[in-house]
Amino acid sequence: MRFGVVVFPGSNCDADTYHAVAEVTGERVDYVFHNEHDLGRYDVLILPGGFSYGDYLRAGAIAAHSAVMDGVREHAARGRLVLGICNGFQILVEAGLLPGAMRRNASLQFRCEFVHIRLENDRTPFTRLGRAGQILRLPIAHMEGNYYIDPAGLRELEHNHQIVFRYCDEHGYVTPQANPNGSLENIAGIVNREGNVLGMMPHPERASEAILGSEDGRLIFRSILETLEVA
Amino acid sequence: MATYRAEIYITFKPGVLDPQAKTIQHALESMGFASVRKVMTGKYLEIELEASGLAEAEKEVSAMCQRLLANPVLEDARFHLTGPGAGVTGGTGGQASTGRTTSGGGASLPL
Repeated sequence: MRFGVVVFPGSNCDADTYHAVAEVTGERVDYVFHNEHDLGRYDVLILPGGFSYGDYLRAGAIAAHSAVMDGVREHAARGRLVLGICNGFQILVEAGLLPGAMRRNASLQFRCEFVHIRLENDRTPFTRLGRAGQILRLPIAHMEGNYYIDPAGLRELEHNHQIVFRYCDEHGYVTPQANPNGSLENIAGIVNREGNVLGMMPHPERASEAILGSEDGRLIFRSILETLEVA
Repeated sequence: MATYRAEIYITFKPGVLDPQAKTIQHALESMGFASVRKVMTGKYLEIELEASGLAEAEKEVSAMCQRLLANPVLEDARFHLTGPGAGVTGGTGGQASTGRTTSGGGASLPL
């Protein structure tokens, strides 16, 4: 089993992600550089957080057109798993691998804090070890996490159970107060229609060891491992 | 081939929340500018390009807007091209300046 962590100029969570995946899964992890094309050897590709290309133009916009994204697209089209975290999520929406778009946080502030998210869909390859309604405590750190999609797109997301995480309070209530960035319907993470591409703003890799204050992020990496093992 | 210059404006689609604009509007109001009814923010870019004519330049800039410069989910782009091949003549050195603003139809977006 092989994980690839894609590194763009300006990625800054690549090493954390590499470490967390290796630590939690015990599997092989490689860095994959933004100019590589042939990604056929990977089972899972992770687009980590950071500020790819300085967030110039729009967060993720330039990275979405880099060479490696052709390989990511092919990988996804083959049904293999893609996880985008934070800037990785932004890149996936800019690349059209996930629907919608990211706006600047409604507060116009960079939000860097622990949040609670409620697991809405426990049948994805990324969340199969969780249960719907479960609350995770994970950190966020972003300026553009204010998810937007038009009303028709939102209906489709809901109809297909593509909303995987919503921001909630510590008791699991999805409220405006618990929404750190103004995201539509408190959306914190979505999958594509096929279910093999997940984008999420919170950082599971920063919450996979007790010493970091939360281990809730392990759920994602362990679920991926389980998915690959049963496949 | 001739050199064209595109002045490109990217703005949010109507209905998309623009928190920066809201904040600016509040600031203007609190400064006493009671006249303010609406504020929009956006991006401005200038691109110089080589093209065989105005039509090709328009096509090229239009494609740039659609594929990279604007996010079609959130934003509209419109642009103004200057260079040889259209209407208004102006400036110096024999360079024609076209008053070609695309907005609505033709090479223009909404995307």
